[in-house]
Amino acid sequence: MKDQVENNASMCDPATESDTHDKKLMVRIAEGDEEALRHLIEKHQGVVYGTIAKMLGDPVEAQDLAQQVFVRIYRAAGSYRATAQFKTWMFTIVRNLVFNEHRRRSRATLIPLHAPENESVDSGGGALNLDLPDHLTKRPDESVLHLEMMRAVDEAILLLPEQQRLAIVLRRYDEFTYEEIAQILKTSVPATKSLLFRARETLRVALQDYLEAKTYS
Amino acid sequence: MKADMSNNHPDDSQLDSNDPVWRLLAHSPMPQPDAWFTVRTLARCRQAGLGMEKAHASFGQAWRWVFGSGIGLCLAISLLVAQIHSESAMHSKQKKVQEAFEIVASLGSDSDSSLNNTTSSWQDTSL
Repeated sequence: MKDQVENNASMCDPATESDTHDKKLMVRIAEGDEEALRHLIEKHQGVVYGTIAKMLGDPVEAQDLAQQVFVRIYRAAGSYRATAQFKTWMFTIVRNLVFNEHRRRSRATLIPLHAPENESVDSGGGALNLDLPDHLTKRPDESVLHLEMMRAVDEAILLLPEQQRLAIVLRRYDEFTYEEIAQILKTSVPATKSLLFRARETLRVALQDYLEAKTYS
Repeated sequence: MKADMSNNHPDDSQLDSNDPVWRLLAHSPMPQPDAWFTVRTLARCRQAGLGMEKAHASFGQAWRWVFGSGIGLCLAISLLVAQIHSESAMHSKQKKVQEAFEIVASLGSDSDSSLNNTTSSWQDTSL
């Protein structure tokens, strides 16, 4: 694997460089280097956690699943072969864990400890645990509108079927290419484009009020 | 995260940026993990690693136990077989000795009878 990693290092594309760095970290992790594991976690925790949180709408569960992703990476470091892009491989693990969680949830009847209607978005419940808005630069009514819009967007995303939801999150928030999304979802590029098109149309209908009011602009 | 956009067709990216839905989605940012996420994840990985080591160790220990008990069992069986074999050998030896004794005894009885005959022949019965 080391030779393959060094061959890839000769390319100077930033994405390839990042991928080569990840693969080098994986080699070091396989050799038992904990510092390399720390680097890898610090580099990818934002996108992994963010994607899972967007997919599940539950920050606590997202944290647990994101940790599981890194545990799986750590365990697989010894047998990891640098055949595909590291990022794609990592998000395949994310996909498997998230879809398994969906299946588990669909089987179990989950009763929330608190009613979602009474929660505010920034209290850690509701759609997602999001950052507080900037009250210094926005008027209170604008902030409320912004929060409401954020919540509506998150709820609309959560209502999408899981494949469409993951495709949208990977494309919009993680800026993956169609080819990468197709690899992660184990489907073809045209099917991925179709998924994204249908997701956009569903979101367009769900968020019609906000689109017409143009409060987002 | 800045992703590789080189594989994307320019019209796809343009379509994304021109789409109002796409722009609206930007108003709901990606949630970020808390500051302790790395530390907790490292601890969990370490625990998982220890678990793996323990599993390896217990497998090694189990293998040693299996190997040891196998050798013990083989030794016990071989001892038992040897004992049975020696017992049967002794038994056949005893049988042979007994047969030999019987032959000798039968021969002895024949000679005794002839001896009796001879004795009677030299004994002076007239006296």
